[in-house]
Amino acid sequence: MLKRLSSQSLRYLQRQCSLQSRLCSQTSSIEESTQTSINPLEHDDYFDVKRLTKKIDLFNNRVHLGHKVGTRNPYMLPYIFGNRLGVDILDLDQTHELMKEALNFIAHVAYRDGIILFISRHLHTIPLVEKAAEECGEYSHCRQWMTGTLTNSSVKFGAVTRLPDLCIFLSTQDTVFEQHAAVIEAAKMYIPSVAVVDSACDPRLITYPIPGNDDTPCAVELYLKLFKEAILKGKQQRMLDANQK
Amino acid sequence: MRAYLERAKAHDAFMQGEISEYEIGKRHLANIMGADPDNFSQEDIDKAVEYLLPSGLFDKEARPKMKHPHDVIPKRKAAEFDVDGRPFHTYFYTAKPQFFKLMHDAVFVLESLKKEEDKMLRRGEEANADKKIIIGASVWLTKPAVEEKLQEKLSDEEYDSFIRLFTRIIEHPISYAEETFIMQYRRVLSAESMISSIPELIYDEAGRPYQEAEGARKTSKAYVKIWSQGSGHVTVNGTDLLDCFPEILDREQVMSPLHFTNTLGRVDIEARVEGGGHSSRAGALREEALSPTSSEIPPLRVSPRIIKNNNVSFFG
Amino acid sequence: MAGSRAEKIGTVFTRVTGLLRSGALKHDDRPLWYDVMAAFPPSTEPKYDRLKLQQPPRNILYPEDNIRAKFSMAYSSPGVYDMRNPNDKSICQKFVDKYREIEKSTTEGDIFEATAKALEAEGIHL
Repeated sequence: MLKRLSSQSLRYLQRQCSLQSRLCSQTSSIEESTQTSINPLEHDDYFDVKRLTKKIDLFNNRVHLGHKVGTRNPYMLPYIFGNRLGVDILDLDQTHELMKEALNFIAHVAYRDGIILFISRHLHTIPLVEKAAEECGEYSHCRQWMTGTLTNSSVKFGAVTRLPDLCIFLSTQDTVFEQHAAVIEAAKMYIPSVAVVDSACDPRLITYPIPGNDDTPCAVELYLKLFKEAILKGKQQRMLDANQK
Repeated sequence: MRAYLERAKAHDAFMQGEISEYEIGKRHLANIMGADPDNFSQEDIDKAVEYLLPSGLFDKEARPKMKHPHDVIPKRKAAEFDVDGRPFHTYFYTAKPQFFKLMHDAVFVLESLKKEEDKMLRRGEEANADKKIIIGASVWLTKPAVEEKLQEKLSDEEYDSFIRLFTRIIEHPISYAEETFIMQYRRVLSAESMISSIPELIYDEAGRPYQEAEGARKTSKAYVKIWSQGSGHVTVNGTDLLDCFPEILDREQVMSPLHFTNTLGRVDIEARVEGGGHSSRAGALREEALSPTSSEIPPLRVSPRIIKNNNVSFFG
Repeated sequence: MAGSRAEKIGTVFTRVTGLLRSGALKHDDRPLWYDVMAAFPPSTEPKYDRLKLQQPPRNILYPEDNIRAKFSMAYSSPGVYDMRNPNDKSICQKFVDKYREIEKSTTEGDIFEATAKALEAEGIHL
């Protein structure tokens, strides 16, 4: 499968600009995804992950609640719906679309046997994040970040190490004031990132940002449930496709 | 990556070689000793080596020995990646997977305890005070011990966070439910403090209670009677303490257990001391004889002053 | 991997594309995510140097906020209620609902007072 993809990928590169418009118009039924003849990358929703999120779930789990105005990051302005009595409210219409985009990307990376690293420094939810990563057979780093874990990995781990293929941030902040060092390290090492960005976070280096509340446990549980499901769907599909070959 | 796998492979090959050499050596030894090579145990090997290569070296570790390579060669971590380069451990990227796995498990142990306690409270039950883990009977593993157990180097902050988390677990009212988990990381002290028993109280005709005890240090031996309800009168070999021990240091030695247990002036002591010099005589009195001065107080072995000095003469 | 570590220039995708085009990175060695991102590019290009929006977000205000303000001036406490239960309303919200109900039926008199009395009659202590 991967061989076939590599020969075709150049063609996709050329078509990249037109792809996005095609994505919006293309609608495909779920039944199609089980056919082997289809190329996963040509399918709009090969892993059937886009129906996982519902806007009402996002709302009920308080994903729309941002931080106070004073902590707002100016680059988050496009994702902010409005300001309610000093608290920024995130635009769930955008969150919903971006979440679907991110889930699709995660499922594709999992499908290609990529290493997915969950990162968070939000102390209350660390055990949840670690548990979710373990349950879907992936990796987590929720402890103090040693500078150079990604950029100087062969020294840090004592051997040449395969770096993650995707970093998922449940919170891009290390402390309340500082951004997590892994955001920059991942960008330096050509590792794409999916991140939940609150109104106080900087979304610029995040490849697939998901504007949302990163502090409330129920919101984090929802994200983890979605990410886990997307990864498991990707892996499941890989097994199915391998069996059919 | 490839280099790493090669190194792991080389280590495995090295261990295989060592083990096969050990097996051959064992068979030779069995043949020399005229025993069955197939049923030659490690105990037999130790005996054979001691017989064939007798050594007078004082330190037993320095004498010749033949042990299984797994016991002698320091442990090495097993390979951490598969052939695709995917690490085996979910916390691999933290660089201390075993430690953070432990911390992760401990959090869920604590959470399960909390949940269990909530359930009990809802049922109107209370924690069983009899089952409570006695914290004083054991101590947390030291940092080197934890490092040895996990095969990972820890920073001081990490060790502190480990102690903090586990202290929270052990202080939980129903921590006894997870005793096996907790006790893996504690060292039991009972071996020292439980063995030494307190002498029984004996009563004389007048009904006055006393204890009898014996002590030894170097070549000195002391036999002591400690009378309760006394006024602090001390006689050694029939003479006053001051006459028997002119040196102030010796007198301090004798009186220190009384001072520590706060029984100065409240007990009378009648002692007989034999052999040795003045300081070893005072030591003998202090050692075993005076340390448990009252059966009402627990044994005081933990106090550094009353820790037994094992420097007893080889010839004594 | 060969290539610049200047993360603020371009995006992860454009930098890998550059490496592929220049031949520094062989096509077979390209990252595993590359084809996926080519097929499903992020809706906003994750560039570091992007323009800031100058316009501050609008304030979210509702007509009933006036009633809430009056309520807080008079009673200060919105009361205790279960936030996990979406059907459980705070006293303030009950007050607002009642106020609007009364507002529809009557046009004269002090509606605020009337609402307070109606809630008292229902057994809700303000």
